[in-house]
Amino acid sequence: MMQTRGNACTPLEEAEATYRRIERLEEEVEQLRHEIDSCLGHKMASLVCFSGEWDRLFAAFTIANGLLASGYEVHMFFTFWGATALRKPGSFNPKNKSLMQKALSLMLPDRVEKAPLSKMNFAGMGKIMLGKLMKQKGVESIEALMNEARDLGVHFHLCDTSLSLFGWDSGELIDAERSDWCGVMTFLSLAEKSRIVLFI
Amino acid sequence: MSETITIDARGMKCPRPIIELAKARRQSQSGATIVITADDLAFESDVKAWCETTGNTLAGLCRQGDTITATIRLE
Repeated sequence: MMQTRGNACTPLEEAEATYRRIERLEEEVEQLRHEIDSCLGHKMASLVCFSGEWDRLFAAFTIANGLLASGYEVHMFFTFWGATALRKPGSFNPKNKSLMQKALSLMLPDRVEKAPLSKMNFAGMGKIMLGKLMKQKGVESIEALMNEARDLGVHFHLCDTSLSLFGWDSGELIDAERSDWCGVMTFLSLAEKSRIVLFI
Repeated sequence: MSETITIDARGMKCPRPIIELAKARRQSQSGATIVITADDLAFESDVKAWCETTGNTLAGLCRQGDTITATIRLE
């Protein structure tokens, strides 16, 4: 004899409820599978270039090249001092800049090769010595690495807030027309999908 | 017969040999073989890692003095 419960269900209703539940779970599994695929299936990396120092930028571009050579889609975000890496040499335009912005622009290196070392810079002497050693050992210049990364299809993202602080416009920046002017959410949405995220 | 590409990366420092390898791969079909020679100390370890991460086969790796020759079969 069948037992009766508070809310009596016929066996058919019970089976239907179970079936609906299974259907819902199947949908969820499918959705999760899709999310996992979108995370793992695509080789993507996001690098934040925060520092404007030559050695740190050198590391950033070396890593970017390694990633590009391994088939990664690489996104580099230039923010704060890191944005100086993308200045176009000799393109300083005093128009539409405040006195402080002009002073900052003149004090900061206007090409990546001129950036100071994070250690042992000694007013540029340390860097000259290091540069000589690197040449002797056949290490490439940072500009060569940067150009290589551009050729291999790196994506540049510029922090709009940093650039508005410095007052630099697109005419004063390398690849400005191909770059994405963005904010933190753009970085986060790409970082979320990336297998590798670095802050340099 | 499948094609064989030879790269002389001697005198080049990290990451250049790997960049050259990646460029050659882009221009080749699967089944092709790349033979690359380098004398950067990092290359021996790096070429293994590159093959692993890109899913290509390291068919041979030989070292003579400072010179490392890697044979890679593209998948």
